Amino acid sequence: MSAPDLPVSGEPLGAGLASPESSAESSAEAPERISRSSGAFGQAPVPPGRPDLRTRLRDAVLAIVRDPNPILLKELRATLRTPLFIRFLYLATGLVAIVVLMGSAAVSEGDTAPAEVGRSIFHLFFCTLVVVLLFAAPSQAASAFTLEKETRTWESLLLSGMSPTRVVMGKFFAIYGSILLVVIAVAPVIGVAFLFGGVSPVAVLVAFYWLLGCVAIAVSFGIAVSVRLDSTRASVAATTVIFVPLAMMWSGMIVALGELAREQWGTPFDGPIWFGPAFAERTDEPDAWALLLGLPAFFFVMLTWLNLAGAIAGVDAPGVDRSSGLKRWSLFAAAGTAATVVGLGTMMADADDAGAVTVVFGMASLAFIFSLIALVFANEPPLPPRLGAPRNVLRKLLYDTFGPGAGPTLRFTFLVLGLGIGGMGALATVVRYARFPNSVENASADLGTAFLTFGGISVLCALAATAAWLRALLRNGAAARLLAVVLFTGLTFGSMVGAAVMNPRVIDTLDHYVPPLVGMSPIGPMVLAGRSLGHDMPSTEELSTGLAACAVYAGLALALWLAVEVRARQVRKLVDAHRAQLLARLGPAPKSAAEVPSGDEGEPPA
Amino acid sequence: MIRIEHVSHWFGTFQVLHDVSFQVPAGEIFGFIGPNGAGKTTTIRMMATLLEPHDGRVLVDGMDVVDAPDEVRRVIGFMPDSFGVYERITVEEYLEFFASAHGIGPGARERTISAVMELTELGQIKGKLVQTLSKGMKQRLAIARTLLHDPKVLVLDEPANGLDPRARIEMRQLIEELRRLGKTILLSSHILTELSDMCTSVAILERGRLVAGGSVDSIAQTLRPERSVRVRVLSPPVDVEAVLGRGPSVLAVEREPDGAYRVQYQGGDEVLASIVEHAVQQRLRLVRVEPDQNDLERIFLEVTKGELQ
Repeated sequence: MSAPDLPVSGEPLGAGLASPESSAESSAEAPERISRSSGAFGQAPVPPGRPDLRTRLRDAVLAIVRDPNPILLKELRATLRTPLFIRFLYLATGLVAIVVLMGSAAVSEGDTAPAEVGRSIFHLFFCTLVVVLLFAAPSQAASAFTLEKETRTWESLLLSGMSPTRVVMGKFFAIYGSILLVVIAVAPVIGVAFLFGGVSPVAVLVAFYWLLGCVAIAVSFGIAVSVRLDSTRASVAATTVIFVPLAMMWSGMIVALGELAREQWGTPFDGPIWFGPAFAERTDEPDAWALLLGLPAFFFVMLTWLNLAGAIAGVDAPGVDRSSGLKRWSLFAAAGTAATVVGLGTMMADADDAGAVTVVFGMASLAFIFSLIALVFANEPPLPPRLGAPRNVLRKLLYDTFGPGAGPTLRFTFLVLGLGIGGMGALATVVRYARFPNSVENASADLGTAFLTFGGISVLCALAATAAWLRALLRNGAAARLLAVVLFTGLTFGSMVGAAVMNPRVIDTLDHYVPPLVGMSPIGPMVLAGRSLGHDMPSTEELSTGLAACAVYAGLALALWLAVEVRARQVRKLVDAHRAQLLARLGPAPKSAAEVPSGDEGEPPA
Repeated sequence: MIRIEHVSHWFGTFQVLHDVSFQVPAGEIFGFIGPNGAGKTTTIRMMATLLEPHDGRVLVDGMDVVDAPDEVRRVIGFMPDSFGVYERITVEEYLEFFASAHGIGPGARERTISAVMELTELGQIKGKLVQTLSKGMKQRLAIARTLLHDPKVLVLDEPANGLDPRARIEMRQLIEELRRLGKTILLSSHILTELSDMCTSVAILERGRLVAGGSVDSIAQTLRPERSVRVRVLSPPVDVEAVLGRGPSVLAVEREPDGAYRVQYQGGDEVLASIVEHAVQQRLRLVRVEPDQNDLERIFLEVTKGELQ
């Protein structure tokens, strides 16, 4: 079988090939070798039992320092050897420099004060950079995985033994690093603004902070799209078509918030990058730190994490747990969103405003964040994966109750929505009472918060359960999500149209009266929450409608949850029966095929 | 080492594999043959844990590819039929990347890469960019990559595809060297003459069904007991046809236009050795005895019908 003078598999090849120096080196690394199952070539280590969190954190930090992510190194090397990237570096720097110089020349003509010119250059510089990077970053990221698929390196990467998290994080940091190089190359151009004055270094730093946060979202979005598609062209097109309009909306919202900041704080609003100068003027105020640094950080981290968790789930094989990463994200997103809404309420001067802020921002959080949480797990298959169940009793209990699989995942979604929305409402109420214990406006704020909380939980749980149930029927997560959204949107618009047919002025009078048809729609409880903040309290009929809507949606959620659990049990029975049949037909697997003798024995007949 | 047990697989409603079973013994070079579209790559991708069988079981070193994919990946090295390499890094950086990806620590990595480069003769070009390498060198690099984690099993899908004659010979030598190191090698190829030189056993797949499997000799014997060789004799002094015709188990002898004699006989290599011994005793000056047709080619043509699925 093997030549007598050469080492066979399982023996260290180094013994046959290495020099005496290398033997000495290998003995110095004896502990490392002990962890390998066979020494030949340096066998990939067999993972031991799961270490504790502290050990894992220490190992992770040491690993980053001693042995950086191989994809990060490989991608950075390849990028810096790509002529196209170097040309892009020159082009981006040149473009921004030309725009800034021409802009400053145009602005400085006439009697414009030097400080005004400096501020204009500041806005011009960052706007140009934002446009360049928000097109370039997602486009570059959009080819991260499609190029691997097109050049047929994807399979070797999958079989390399790296975890999907390591692969995705390596790609993310490599692309983010290359974009960072562009930012560093372009950064000196902002020095022109300092020549004229009117711009503080703090404002510039804050603007770079926002810019790099947005770039992180853009890069992670491109990566998430790239994982799902096979063609670079399609991936770049899809990323651009989806991301650019979203980025424009996001920019519009930021500019609108600048107007709000000017009204509330009296800070200057002389351009779209208002947050830099605004922060520079209010560095002593905690609210500026919270709203201009803390809140953006939460959004940058939350959206980047969502994209990367989605990408990791896309890289993972179908047979493994793909939802736990997104579950960790949803806990962070729900907690952060609730804290944001409660925090915004604490900045208000009276109970009425605090209640209004809770209801308005609470509705926004339901529409954007909590509905995303309700739908993000809609692609969960009926059964948990065969592999990866923990052995520890407590962990196993948690895994079986809220782990992967349609039933447990739907329970987890209910829990997150319940805790997130419920906690948000409860905490906002407690804080409001702590600050304004004797305010007469607490009653209407309480009612609005209650409708927002119970309505939000019941409607979004029903949405999540509908999507999970449709997934179990259709076996397609995207179709299930789409149908669930269409169904709930259709119900909302249908109710509105029906109510408008009965009373054409219904929309105009919603702040005085919410008809039952609108109250029973998916947005009914939220409309009633807004109505509760009006000058007159809702009537008994409106209150009954709101309670009935909450009960109906909660009932729907429970019924569909039971249907999903039943379906999962049916699938479990089928799968178990199939495996039992297979085992009966093939028998148990032999312990090691190495025991099978060489030769014709056991081979099928010719 | 590899067991394929009653494996069936569908792509949508189209069944690509029908109850396929065969086994690759440890330490062998095993040929996996079949026309395009026969289901070879599907089977190979199952062994490499890239695809799960819909029915049946695939075991590598005793481990089910479905139940223990990570463990299987640790013992298998897979080179796909059309593979890519990272172009803008050097040979050494390429191997460093995969060694690091396999979790080989920084200390052991250098030693491992040196050993692999020495084995695959890539040491002299370790500083060259991958994009400047020839196709043959890229194939070598791909094999080197599969060796980094010291797999017990190598699955090579068309490793000599598109190589020039010299690169093919070097590739064959490398594969034989790897067999001597104790690796079990499953080789898929269309070049049957090369496979017949290297492989001890084969499996032939057609339209998703196993049509033959086992050692080349045993299949040849089962299919057709009579075999034939071409014999060349230097300045034949006597009636060569009559002399050879009296040899043991010889069925027929006929002279061919190029002067060689086609000897048809019944039996295996023992009988052939006796025929040669008989010819030498009869003072025939033999200069060449060669198979009339490559055994593997003959088997392939006999068992396959040339149908595509």
